[in-house]
Amino acid sequence: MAEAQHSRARPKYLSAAAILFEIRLPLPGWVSILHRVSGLLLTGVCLWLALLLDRSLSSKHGFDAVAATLSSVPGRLALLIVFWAFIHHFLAGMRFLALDLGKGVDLRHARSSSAMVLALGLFCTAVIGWRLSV
Amino acid sequence: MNADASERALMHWVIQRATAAIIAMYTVFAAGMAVVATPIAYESWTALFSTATMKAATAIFALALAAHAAIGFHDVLRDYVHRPSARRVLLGAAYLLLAAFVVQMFTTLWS
Repeated sequence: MAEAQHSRARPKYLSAAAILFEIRLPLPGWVSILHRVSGLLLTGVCLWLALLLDRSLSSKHGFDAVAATLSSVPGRLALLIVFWAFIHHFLAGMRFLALDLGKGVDLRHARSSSAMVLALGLFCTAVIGWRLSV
Repeated sequence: MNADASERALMHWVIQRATAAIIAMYTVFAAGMAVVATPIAYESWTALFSTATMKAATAIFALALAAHAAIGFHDVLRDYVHRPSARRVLLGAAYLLLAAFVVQMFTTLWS
């Protein structure tokens, strides 16, 4: 896309507050933007996770240290968020693949599949959260 | 490459889906292991990553992840960052991060 031409300042109503609280995003829209947000989040943590893997394999001491980090309260919280991000990204991605194949493109199915992606993602995250808290 | 914009776009589209499939397969395997084999002891953990098969699969997974994330990042930046110089800088930073991720994974697996 070419750089925006500003021959006349055009009114824009896209403040963060407007996007979050005033403009109503339909459910498929939420699934889509969360797909992007989760993707960014996962990219942000991938190196950290690789370093954790390295530490856990380096020695028994490293293994215990990683286990301790992930067992701490902030560690479990971080793990939960990463798990949610991965699960949502995965499920929303599969929904996109179905849309690529032309399945579920009509409004009714687009809305129901969006609801399913969100619900299943939260459910799986809750199960993992329960297992992490035990 | 001499691919024009539409050829590049199609290539991105295909690579994004193909790498997603690779990531999905590895994830299903990892999730299965998490269900049946946790909590895991240090000895079993290192044994898991000592086989050539696991190392190769994990390496392929890491490469697929990096390619998938790079294309995704490119798409996101293209949509939200409109100044080309800023976009190039952010994209370069993402590529650097993903390259570091791949190098780190390979180092972990084979050293």
